[in-house]
Amino acid sequence: MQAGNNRSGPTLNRRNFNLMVSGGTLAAILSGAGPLRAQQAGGTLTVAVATPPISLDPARNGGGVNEIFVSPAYEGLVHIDVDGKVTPRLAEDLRYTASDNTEFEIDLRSGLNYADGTPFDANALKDYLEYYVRAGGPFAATASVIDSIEVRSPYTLRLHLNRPAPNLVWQFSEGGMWGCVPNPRAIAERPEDLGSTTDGVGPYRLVAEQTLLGSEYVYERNPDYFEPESRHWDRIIVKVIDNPNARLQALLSGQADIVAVDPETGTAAVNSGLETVVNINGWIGLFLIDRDGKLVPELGDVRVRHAINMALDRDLIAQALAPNFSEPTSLVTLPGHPGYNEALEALYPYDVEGAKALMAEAGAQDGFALNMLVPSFDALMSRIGQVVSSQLAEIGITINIETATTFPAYAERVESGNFPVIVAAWGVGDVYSMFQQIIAPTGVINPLRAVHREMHELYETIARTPPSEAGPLYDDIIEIIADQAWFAPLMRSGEILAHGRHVENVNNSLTYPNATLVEPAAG
Amino acid sequence: MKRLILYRLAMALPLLILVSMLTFVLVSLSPGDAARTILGSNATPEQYAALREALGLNDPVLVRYWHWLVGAFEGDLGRSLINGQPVLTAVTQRLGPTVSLVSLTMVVTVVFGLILGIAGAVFGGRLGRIVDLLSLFGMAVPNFVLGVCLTAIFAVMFRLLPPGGYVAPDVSLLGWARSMILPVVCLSFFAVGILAQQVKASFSDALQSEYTFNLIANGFSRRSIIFKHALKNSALPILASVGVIFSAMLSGTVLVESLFYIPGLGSLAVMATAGSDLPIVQGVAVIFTLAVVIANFLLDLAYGALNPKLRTAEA
Repeated sequence: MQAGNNRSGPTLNRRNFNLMVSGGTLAAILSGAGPLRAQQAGGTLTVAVATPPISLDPARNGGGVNEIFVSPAYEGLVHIDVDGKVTPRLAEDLRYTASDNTEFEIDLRSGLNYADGTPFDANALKDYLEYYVRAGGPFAATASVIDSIEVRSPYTLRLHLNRPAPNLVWQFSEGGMWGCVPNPRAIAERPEDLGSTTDGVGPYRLVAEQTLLGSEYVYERNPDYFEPESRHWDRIIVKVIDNPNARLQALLSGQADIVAVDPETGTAAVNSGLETVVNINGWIGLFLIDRDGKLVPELGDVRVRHAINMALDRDLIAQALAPNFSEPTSLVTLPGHPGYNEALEALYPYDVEGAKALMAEAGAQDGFALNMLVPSFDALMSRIGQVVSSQLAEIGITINIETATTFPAYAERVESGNFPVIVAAWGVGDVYSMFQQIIAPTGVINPLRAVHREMHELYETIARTPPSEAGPLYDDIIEIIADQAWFAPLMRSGEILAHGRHVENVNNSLTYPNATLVEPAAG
Repeated sequence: MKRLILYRLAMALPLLILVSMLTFVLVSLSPGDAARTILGSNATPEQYAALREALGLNDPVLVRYWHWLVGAFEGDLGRSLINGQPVLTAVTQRLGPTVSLVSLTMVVTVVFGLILGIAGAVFGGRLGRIVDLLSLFGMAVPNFVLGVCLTAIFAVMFRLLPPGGYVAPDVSLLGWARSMILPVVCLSFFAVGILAQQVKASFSDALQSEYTFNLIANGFSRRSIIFKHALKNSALPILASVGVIFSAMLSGTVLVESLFYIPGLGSLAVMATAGSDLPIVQGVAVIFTLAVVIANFLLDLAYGALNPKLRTAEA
């Protein structure tokens, strides 16, 4: 589940675009800055983001925004870049060995050791996967798909699954966290310390004595890293600054090299002549949770859900609330992702009269009222909530906005099943993994357990179809989801990063600048 | 005086218990819990239930508070529910920035409050009105507005000072001083305004009292009258407001530390409260309560030393 500053899973085939900004005032602003980064490798990269990780323990970690804190120390078995290209890292190879996605084999890179000399091998990975379930982190349930783990040789292991799972390559990337393997000795002897320290074979190590959990995380090169030349910086500091304006000011004053910004401060960054990068990795919109009309009978009628989709002026919303950093959309997947079909974007043109006619057809011409949950801790989603309620008022739907001021409170109320409609942001990540959360009958964001027979048959079929052959199935299921209007997506957007010109190559990241692999290089 | 000390000590314990209990109950009552913070909403309801059980969140609030209290008396403040860090470590790591911020702000407040207040009272007239105006301004401008303006001007426009963050004095004394200037100005602005008003009022009273006329009539120097007699006699109400200002300032650190992203106790409290991380919230609450108790105790001692009535009563 995503809520603005708590995005999860990185995405495959993510489209990203660079907004190269002309820097008329850049020189003026940077003129007072300290020395720019040296041309050669070395030095310190300082990144400022909005939220601290829940835990540094990969097994208890939420993924997504937490990735930047974990991957420097652990890396992943594979890296998936913004175009969806998979590059082996700590693994040499991984592949399905059964045609129905129920067996998966991994060959690990050999000769890697943890700081205390413990080898990184198949047993280490086995221990970690078992710990992953035991530790009970946010995604522990995902690993329950593993039935048994067979160590076939010191560096090869095979997973036997108890049901088909087509998303394991992603799971073993640094975003999926299954590939971020801590020292098996730490897991056995002091697992509670993994939350506040790191013990991996990745390119950097956390300097615990200089780190202030929740505020500042300091990493230094791991002298034993297997590919030291692939790393640019000697030190990486990740600061947590919750206020977006303060992050921008940290960038402007030279305290940080790259900062995460929101659409508003992103525009300010553009106006200040800074460079910004957007990785479109998710969408924001309405989850029409009550598809069966259990709370609000009218919502059970698909025509009413169509009317809602048609009453929303997506172009206006995207342009007004996140200009430069978003695109209007009415689909739950993204360009370049499985199932994306541009023609479907035209399914719900903005048409208030048409929407009213549909409402009348459904017998709801007199309108109705519903409660909508808005995560008010996210400025953009707060505004979206207000715009949506005024646009839906045009077709007679009265929205009572209820706000959640913290993420835990929001998550609790989403799952309570008491809200027929919620405003949410969703990082698409792996599309199948997204389906597990938002459409599966057991999905956490399907709290009223709605089922659509055809949709769910397709979902089951995708699970057991080799990923390379599943394309047409994704096309079909996305079309059904759009047609059934289980959602009213409004805009696709993603992490916005601002940086000065002294760093380059910032765009190649999954969710945040992945400091471990595709490092921003000094320009 | 001995009785005063004993009384203060006897009061400190129930106060600590009361504050920690109120904090515990209030944070427990707020929506969401640590299990939710840890799991987000990706987890299944069963997993959530299991984690709640493991974290002991299913016990009644008072039972959990009792466990905490027993631990605290044994010197164990527990571990963060979220990242497992011992509370004592988390709190001591962040003590430095908050102590720097609060102590520097107190010094600035007292020095400028006294100078402005005394100047206003002694010179009166236009200067007095200017002091009034400045005080009113200090009291009227919310510190978050001031903080944003200060940052925009001094950190972003002129790039004279860092916009936030904290540098430990043992890393760089100059860096520490520079990192403290804006937050201290921001936090002391309001307090200087209040204190200057208080000083001006008490000082004016002292200067217009009968004993001052007597002293003038007896040929005492102006300097002696102002700094020896009037200052001493107006000290009691000033001390009382210093105590109140100190307590208000501790709550002020919560906002100012967030504004200037200073990794201190205030920002820790904000983070822990948002994540329902009760042991950490409790740790900060206990430290703040202790600070208030100790500060008031010291003020009482000063009060006793300055107030002849108290001294004779004790004797």
